[in-house]
Amino acid sequence: MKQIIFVISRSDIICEGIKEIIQSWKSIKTILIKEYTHIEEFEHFFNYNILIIHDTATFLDKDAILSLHKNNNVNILQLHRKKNNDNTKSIFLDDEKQSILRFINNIFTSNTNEEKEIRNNILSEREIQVLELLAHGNSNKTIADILNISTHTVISHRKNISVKTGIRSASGLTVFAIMNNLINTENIDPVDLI
Amino acid sequence: MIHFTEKDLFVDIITENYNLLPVINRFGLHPGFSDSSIEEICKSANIDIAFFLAVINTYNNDKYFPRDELINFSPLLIINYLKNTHKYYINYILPKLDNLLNCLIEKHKHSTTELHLLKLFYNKYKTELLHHINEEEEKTFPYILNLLNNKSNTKYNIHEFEEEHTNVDEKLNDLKLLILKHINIKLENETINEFLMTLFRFEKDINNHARIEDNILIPQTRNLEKKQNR
Repeated sequence: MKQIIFVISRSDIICEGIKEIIQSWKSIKTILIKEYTHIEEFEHFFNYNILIIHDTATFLDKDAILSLHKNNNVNILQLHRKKNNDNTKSIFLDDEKQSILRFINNIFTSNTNEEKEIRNNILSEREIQVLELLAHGNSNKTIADILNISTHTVISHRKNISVKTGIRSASGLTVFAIMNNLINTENIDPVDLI
Repeated sequence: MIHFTEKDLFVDIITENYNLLPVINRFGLHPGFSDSSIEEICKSANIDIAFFLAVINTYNNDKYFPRDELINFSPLLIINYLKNTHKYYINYILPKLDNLLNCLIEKHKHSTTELHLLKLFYNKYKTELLHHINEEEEKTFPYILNLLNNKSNTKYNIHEFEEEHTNVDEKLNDLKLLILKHINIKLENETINEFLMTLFRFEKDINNHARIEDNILIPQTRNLEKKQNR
């Protein structure tokens, strides 16, 4: 399923900031929405895996996203400007980047387990996740933080990936990932990745 | 596996292993060998016979590496040989690989994404290799020659060279495998075969090149450094 993220917030800073954080991780299509009514433009979307990051300071009428819910797999992540005790599907303005990405990654992976298109049969799902992050230029430490595993485990996954594919260099693995459609290069120029 | 000696006919080197043609070129030698022996040809071209044989046999046989013998040759001989090898890579091999890739891209205008990726990856490899060669020619070799001549020297230390001697061969192997294993489109046979064969031959050559640098030149230099108490 194709992934899309909507960021609903009146604040330019929040919109652009979140988009930037997401793009640094994966090139997922991210749409910025200043007024919840603008969501109507996207009612025709069908069969997408949608994450809505909603700035709670911006009003969102639940009815506006009903049709999206009908035709797509929708999850909502609340962005609170002030810390509170609600941890379920919530992120806060003060949160660290890795923590936010971890949240987002969890939401997307828990939804795509059944529908995950593992185009390449030789790599495990976890290995593909590591490969995706690696191909986007993330360090072992960052990959470990986002996937909530140890750096040692990341290195272990990398070794397995190299053994299975025969490719050892990071840029070689990136080429492999792109060739096998494991990463989306719509919004990113391969020149920057390789 | 045949082992060449000075009394052998020179032409036998090539009939036994034609991949040695570029290697003999590095000594300034080229066909028109008639029935001369290796000894005769080396003598008339003023080439150190023992060194020539050591190199030829090393390249001909993966398992042969006369370290103790090679380490006794003058670093000057070795550096000159390595420099000529660099010329071969820069003036012949890399342009050839460039052309073959460009030719492939021309022939497959409708499906260039994968080729474009390969070209990007190859360019990255090429840049790293050229940088490495340049470092050797501009810094490492002059440094060693200065040591040899007891001249005053830069603050360079052979340790730096070792650290920079990264696995450029890692990318070369990746390039091979990306094409052999992972490519998803059909490429024009003759051109991609030519590309791969050039890559295979190049890989073999550069591995031998690295063997000499790592196992002979570097230890020789460390010895020279010790003598000068660096």
